[in-house]
Amino acid sequence: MNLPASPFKFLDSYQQGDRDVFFGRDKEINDLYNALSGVKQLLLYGPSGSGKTSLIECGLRNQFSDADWFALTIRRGRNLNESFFKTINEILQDKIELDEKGLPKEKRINFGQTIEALFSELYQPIYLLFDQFEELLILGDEAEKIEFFTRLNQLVRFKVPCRVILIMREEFIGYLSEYEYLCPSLFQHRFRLEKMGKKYVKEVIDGILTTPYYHAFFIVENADALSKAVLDRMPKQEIELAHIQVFFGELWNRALEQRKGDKIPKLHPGLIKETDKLEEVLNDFLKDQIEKLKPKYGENAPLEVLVAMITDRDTKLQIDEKTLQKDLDSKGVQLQGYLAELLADLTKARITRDIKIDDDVKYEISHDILARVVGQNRTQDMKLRQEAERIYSVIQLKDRTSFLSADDLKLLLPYEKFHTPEIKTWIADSEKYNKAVEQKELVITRKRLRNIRGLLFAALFALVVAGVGLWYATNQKKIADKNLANFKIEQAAKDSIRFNELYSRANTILKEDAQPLEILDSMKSINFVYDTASKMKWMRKAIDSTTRATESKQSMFDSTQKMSDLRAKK
Amino acid sequence: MGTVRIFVASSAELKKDRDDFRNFLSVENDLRHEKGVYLELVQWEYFLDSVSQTSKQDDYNNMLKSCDIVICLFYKKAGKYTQLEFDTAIKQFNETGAPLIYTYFKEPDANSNPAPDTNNVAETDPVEIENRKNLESFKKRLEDLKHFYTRYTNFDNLQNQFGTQLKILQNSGFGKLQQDVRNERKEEVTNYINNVININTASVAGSNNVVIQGVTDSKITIINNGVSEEYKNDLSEIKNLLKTLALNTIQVDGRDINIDNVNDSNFGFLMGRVSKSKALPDKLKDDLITDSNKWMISLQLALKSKGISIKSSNNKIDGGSIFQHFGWLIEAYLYKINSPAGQKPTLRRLSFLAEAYQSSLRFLCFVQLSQVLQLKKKPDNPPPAINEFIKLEKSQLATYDYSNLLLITTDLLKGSEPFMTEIVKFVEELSDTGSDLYTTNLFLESNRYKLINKEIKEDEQLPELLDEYLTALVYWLRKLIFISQYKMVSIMDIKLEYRLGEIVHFEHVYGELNGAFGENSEDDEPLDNTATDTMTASDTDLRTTKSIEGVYTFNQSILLLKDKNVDSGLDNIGDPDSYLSLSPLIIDQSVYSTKPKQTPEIYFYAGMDPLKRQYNYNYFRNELLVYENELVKSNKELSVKEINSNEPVLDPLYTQLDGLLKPFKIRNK
Repeated sequence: MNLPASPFKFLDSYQQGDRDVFFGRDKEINDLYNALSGVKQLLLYGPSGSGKTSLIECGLRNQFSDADWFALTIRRGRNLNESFFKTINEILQDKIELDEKGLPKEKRINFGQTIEALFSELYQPIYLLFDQFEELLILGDEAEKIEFFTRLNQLVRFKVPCRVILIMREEFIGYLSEYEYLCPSLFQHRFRLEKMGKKYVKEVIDGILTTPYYHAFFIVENADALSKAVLDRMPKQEIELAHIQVFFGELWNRALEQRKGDKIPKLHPGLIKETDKLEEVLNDFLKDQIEKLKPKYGENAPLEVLVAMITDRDTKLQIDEKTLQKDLDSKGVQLQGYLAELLADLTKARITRDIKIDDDVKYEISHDILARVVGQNRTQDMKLRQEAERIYSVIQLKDRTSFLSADDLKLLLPYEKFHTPEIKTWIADSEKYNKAVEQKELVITRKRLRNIRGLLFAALFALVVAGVGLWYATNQKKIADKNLANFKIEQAAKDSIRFNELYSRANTILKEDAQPLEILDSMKSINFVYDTASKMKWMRKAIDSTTRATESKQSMFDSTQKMSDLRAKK
Repeated sequence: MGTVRIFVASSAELKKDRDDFRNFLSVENDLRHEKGVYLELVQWEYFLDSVSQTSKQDDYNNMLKSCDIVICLFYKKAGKYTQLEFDTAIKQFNETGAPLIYTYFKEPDANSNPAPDTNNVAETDPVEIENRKNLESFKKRLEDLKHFYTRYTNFDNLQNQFGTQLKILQNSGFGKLQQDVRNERKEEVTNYINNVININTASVAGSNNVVIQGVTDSKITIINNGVSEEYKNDLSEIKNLLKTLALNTIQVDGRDINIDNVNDSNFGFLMGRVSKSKALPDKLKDDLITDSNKWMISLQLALKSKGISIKSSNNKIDGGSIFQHFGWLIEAYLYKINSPAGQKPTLRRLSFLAEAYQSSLRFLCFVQLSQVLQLKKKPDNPPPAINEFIKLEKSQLATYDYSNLLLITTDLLKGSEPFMTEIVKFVEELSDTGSDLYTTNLFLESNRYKLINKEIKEDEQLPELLDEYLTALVYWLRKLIFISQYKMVSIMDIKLEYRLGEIVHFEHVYGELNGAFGENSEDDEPLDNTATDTMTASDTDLRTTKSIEGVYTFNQSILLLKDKNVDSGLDNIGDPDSYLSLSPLIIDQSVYSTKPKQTPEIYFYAGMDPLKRQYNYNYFRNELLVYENELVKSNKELSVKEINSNEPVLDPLYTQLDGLLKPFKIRNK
């Protein structure tokens, strides 16, 4: 017997037609609309599971007339720039010629021109929703990011009715700052969506329990008590909307089990268990589903498949079946049954969903928050392997032709069981190499030691010789110094006598009105080797006074000569 | 053939005949059902003159509109509300061909029911006298239309007469019968509507109503409290009459007009609304636009005549390149017409067409009003029309008569050099009641009015109406092609650049619709250094700051430039006649934000709420409410209060509005 489908959204985002059942976000809808007013590019961020996509696809969407709204959601896929052009070109029915990479062949066609072409077909303002934008930052290479932000900047400034909303998890916001120089408006307009506080959760619960929309699906007994009972299961802090959706899905299942025959299910306070915790509901759900799949597919396979669909930061990955199979094989995961069937079951359980990207079918976990829960459910082995992979990724930056160092080998030791054959070979080769190097180094070291010993001995001998030599040299120096000093004294005495003679002659000459210039020069040239300043001073003074007298004399002579000349002219 | 819904209505006095009629239809159904015809009886117990005019009126009208045949039975009375509903049915028939209306007056002969006692107690009973008088009056009017009512003496007689109609119905088919009747009675119905319906509307709307019933070249027939009088077709005579009656409003074509707003410039225009046909001019009807591209080609050609070439690529018409030349207020709706929602043959499409028309009038009015508000010498006695415009209430906005305001404001600007000289010629032609432009205006206006009043159904007639409306709109826009010679720009900020030794410059940070404010791309290289001659116009418009030597315009304003190009238009602002500020009638909300915005968001003046000390603005993309029980959630409004706690940057706007509008406000007496 087919059970009726749950009327609740579970982990699916709310769409345009769900406005009547989208509760608790009226203020945010209004705030988001106002934030988008007058803006061409907005950054919308928040914790995973806060309901960013629902806020836009349902809340914001219903703020616009359908004549004024045409929204395109673009995911990164292989490359965000290519995805942009391909997505729009599909709507344009391939009017733009793209190259094999998916970029326009005509180089002048940028984001702006592409949107302009789209607008000329639709006549509706375009809203570009770059969902899961963190994928560009996590998975994209530098060239892709630079290209995208450059093109985005051009689009923002293009005169075309287009608004861009970048939707991402807040923990990756910081990665954007290094690209701000390419697109200065990147952070200028942003909107943070917080998790729901208790007050708004109550609004959601009350809305679900009373809205006429759900009357066809279930009846509610004692709505107030049920509402209170659900709220009591809520943690003190905020919670993601997804938890509430999943919890109501769970209540629905319990109500279905309890109903008699084909009667309409009844939601009532008795469905709530003491052990229920809203914040654990996704975790419980995941574990429950995995347990159901284990008998069919093996102990580890379901969780391994899910883990292969997330990054090491617990964000979603889009992955095809072939790549998944390869991954499982490399990890040595034993899968009973077919992978395609397992993926179908996971999709049926709403844990994953399939999406078409280019011509491929890819799979991804249905919600960010579920991806996080999968990450939290990694087994110890998986965590070790994850850590190993992280280390591998660092180590593999090294040149493969070189060998791993001893430190590297030490680092890899705990993860031995996860080593791939390639890694194992590399490790073995590195160990051999390191051992050989070690041996070589040992030989060299010994030789070096011997050499050092020899050198030491020679040095010691040299030291002794040097010591003796030093003593002799010092002694000889003392003698030489003494002789020099005596010589200087003798010479100084001679110089002094000569100086006095010259001085006396100079004064004599001066008295006779002549100029003792030659004598002055001789006085100056005598090389005084004195050890007392006072004697040098005396000599200097003498020179100075003789110089002054000489100059005075010269001056008098010049004046006398001038007067004689004048007299002669007259 | 299917189901034929028959609505039978009578006053309480004919309950038996009505019940007998029900039985008669039941028998007829038994006879006809094998032929695939089912007569569904929708019975209305009483005419609504016996109940209050509340929600039942809407129920009645909706019921009426959903029926194919209406049978009205009268005997001793035909109250004013009955006549009103009858008129509603007639109007509905005129527009849509349904319902077919059969009116029967019971006039018993001596052998059947007694004749109405006019010589006995009834003679002295004022109610009876009134009833008789109304009945006779109603009959007399219908007699002029001969085909509209039938007498019957007793029920058998009624049964025979209507039975004949049913046979015609069966033989011809309902659709053909409907069309035949419509064609036969078109003239009478049109006359009835033009000459009679306004009487009933007026007399029901209130007492002391003066209603223009009919207009000829020489005479105007006025209904004054139910009494029909003729006056010379002369404004002064009408004014004297109203003065005598101590009234200042007169009803014209269903609208109350303040007589002080009527002068020689718009008197003929308003009177023509009563006398002239509101059908699409034959010239246009003979050449209906039915192709989704033809209308854009027509506008494209009109632009070409004004020196604006529109490039098209791959033989595809780029509507956007065409629409952007009609100004921001109008182009918003032109895009909607071409959107997927606008391309379906629905009332929604009609609403987009109608709003394109309305916004064009609104734009012209704003151009004229902006000049009036900025007149150095304000008029000593400003016309009440401006006061009425300033004090528009929200409920009045949708049906506001911008055509009349355009005429009034253009007249006010006589004697001064108009900014948009072409408007004068346009208004002249519009005022000429013999012109196709005038008739087209009547057609556009009246159908828009009906749309708002939910009088147009989404039925098989709608596609034709849509084609007609589009044709009329294109004709109208072609007449307004001069708008393409002007460009709007939003000035966000003006920065002073002045250093010692330099000439003073004023850097204008501006933005265009869908563009970005103040982004200077002079230093930018295209991504791949492509030569500039392959770039589109949008690329070269990236530079949106303009440093102008020595002159400045208005901050936080929307300017209308007398130029096809914004850049060269701003170059010319040294000439104060080269631009006109349309603010605060049109504003850019983005320039009033505390956080810097990237692109303009346009709102237009939508009236005020004096009690709240608040001016109201509507978003330029708002849509009409065309479906029952439907709210247009996307419609946005902006309130500007004296103190705006959430957005204090709006406070100066309030001050500006108050200052500019004060000289034109008239205190309520």
